[in-house]
Amino acid sequence: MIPDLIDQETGQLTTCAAQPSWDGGVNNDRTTSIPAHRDWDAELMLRVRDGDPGSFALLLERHRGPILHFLYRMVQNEAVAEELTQEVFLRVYKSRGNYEATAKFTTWAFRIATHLALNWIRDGRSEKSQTSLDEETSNGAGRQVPDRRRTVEQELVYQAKLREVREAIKGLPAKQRAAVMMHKYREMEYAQIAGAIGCSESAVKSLLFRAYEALRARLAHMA
Amino acid sequence: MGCPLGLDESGELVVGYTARTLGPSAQIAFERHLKCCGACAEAAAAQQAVWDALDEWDAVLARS
Repeated sequence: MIPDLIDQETGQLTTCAAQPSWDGGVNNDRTTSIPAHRDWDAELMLRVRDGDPGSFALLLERHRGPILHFLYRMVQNEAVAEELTQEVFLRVYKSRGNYEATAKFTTWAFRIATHLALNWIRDGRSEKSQTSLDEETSNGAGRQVPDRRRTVEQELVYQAKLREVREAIKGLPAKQRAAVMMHKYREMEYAQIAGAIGCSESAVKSLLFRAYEALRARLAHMA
Repeated sequence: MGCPLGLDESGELVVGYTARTLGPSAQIAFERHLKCCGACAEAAAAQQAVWDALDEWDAVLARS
């Protein structure tokens, strides 16, 4: 059964998630209490596998924001981030039949998100559709709403600084960028990042070491 | 003069120190080390600048 939150005609996720139903799942014997040591999200995913649409709505509600923010930072384009987030959850849903709780759900979801973002960057699509709020538009006007507490000069310096940060991040190789986004903004541990990127922990340390070294070289003067 | 910790270890400590992911004793030990190691102190200051810049950039994205 396809849950109500996926439009059967378009195959797209609807924006309004259905209310989760802890008591309405197919396997009612598993809808009682979940031990603290269990991965809640994996448990929800197992319920999705077993036909509980409310659990998918809950997963969407819990993880859509973090995934969307991660993808936005990766691709630096709001519309593309939305589109890729949609794709992540469609893939999660389509994979429900084969789901085994062998890894944390978040690691699995971030692995899909990372894969999609790396493909998007690798295909060079970032060069064709680059617009972001801290970037200048074609007519030269900054899209970021100016802060009225700053003078014009301070605002220009601030916008230049943001542009420099964005360019520094964009200048990182895609895997290094993904590692930094997960480490800095999701506070993920090395093992989790390794699971999401699909490499060893020592490789993650190396990615982060090189990424931060490059960022320090470009941004240290901002101190 | 280079850091006696070596590049890999000092790099990891600098990142962990700035991210505040070191344990309490490691944090204190590294703070002591920073007082006598110019290379690490410089790297830690630069890493902090990166950290702050990333925070600022993220705040802009969050407001969008």
